[in-house]
Amino acid sequence: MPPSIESSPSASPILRLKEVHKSYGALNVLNGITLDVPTSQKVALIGPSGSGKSTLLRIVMTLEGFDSGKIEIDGETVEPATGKNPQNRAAQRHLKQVRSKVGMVFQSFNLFPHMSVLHNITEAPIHVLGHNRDRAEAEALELLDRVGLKEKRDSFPFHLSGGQKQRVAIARALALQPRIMLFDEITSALDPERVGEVLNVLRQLALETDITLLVVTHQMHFAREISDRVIFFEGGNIVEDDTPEVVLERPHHPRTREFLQSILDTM
Amino acid sequence: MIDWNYMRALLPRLLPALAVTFKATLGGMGMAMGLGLVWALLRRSSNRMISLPAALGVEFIRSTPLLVQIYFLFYVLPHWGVRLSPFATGVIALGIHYSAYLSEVYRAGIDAVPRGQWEAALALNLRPGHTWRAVILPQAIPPVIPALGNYLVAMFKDTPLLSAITVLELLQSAKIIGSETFRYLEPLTLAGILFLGLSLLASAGIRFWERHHAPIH
Repeated sequence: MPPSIESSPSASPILRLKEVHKSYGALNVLNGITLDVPTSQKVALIGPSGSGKSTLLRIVMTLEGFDSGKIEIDGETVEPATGKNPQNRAAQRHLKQVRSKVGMVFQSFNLFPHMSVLHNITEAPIHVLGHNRDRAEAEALELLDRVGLKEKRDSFPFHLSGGQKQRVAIARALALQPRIMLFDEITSALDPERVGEVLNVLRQLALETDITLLVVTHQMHFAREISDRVIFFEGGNIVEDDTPEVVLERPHHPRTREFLQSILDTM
Repeated sequence: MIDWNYMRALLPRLLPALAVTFKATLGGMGMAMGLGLVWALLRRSSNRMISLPAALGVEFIRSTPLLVQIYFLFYVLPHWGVRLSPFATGVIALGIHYSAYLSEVYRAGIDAVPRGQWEAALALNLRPGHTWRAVILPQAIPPVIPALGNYLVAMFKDTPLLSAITVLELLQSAKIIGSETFRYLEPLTLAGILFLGLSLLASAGIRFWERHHAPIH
């Protein structure tokens, strides 16, 4: 499938994957994925569960290694099987450098339950970026304001609804000022009436910032609305990769049509 | 028949011994808690050159009797030029022995921290040491405090073993009183009552903790 989106060839891609393979034993999760994402592009990744889209995000976040191929993140090369715990220090430093460019929001929030909302957000800026507490807190409050939760600064995660937790998690990831943000089915664990508030935050990010977004989602209307590009995954392959209008409304590939139909049937 | 007045009269003589028992338990527990955490962390190392010896060490300590370890430290350490008081030797023996058990307790607590917490810490680029200190251990330890407390009581009840290396703890003192007067009933009963009282107190403390520190999730 030729990547048909080279809208602005001058913008060098912030994320490049070349022939990335990943398997768990006999199961091929990613079958040689090649993908260029230009800076500040908003990409929606769709596809049936087990198609490899979440694994792709986890590999880009360097939570997992991969078997072969190459990844470049803002000019930094990630080699296969760098793994989570490289033994040598140079590799660790390099991996830290790569991670500093990427932020991730998880389906299950993964807030630190023993820390207040404010503490959750300031922990990394203080200990990773070396900001002093005043600055970290001022910036955290600004972010909390953006996600509409300023009054929850001193609450603990178990006092928050799922939607609130997810908005805090987004603020926490943004506090490190990543160039790429990865969203892994961030509304899947929410009650239906809580989905909207989280998508609003994401919409705001998509429309008002130049952060590159990779969003794994089952919300097709949302994907249509905020993304510049939709990629349909199946069986560890990119089946279709085009503008939202093409992929979601008149897909070329029969598998994409079947998938979209199956989603519509369940709605 | 038991002479309650005599028993009451013995109390002042046994209280200093109770203090020795108490201090040995606290010292041993402090050491076991620190060393146990070290074992637990070493055993989780991704480097097998570290995790394997640590696992073997823990297994070895758990599989040999505390009394043997006490004698070993008491009689062998001086040969290596390490001269410690019987009390200090006893505290170290208790600390080492129980550290092996506590490392298992810590391990259970650490394993119970959801994988997502590690992943969030990694995604936030927190250093591994900081992740342990600020994210993992604060979640891993509170839920296992009751289990730690149970080992505290168990250790308390193991302190009479220190009498084997002449530490004047509670049981040893009761025995000495008995051998002076040939009345064993009162001193031994009193020692038993004191052990029972403190054990019950500690157990109540543990239950109190459990009730007031429900896990946060």
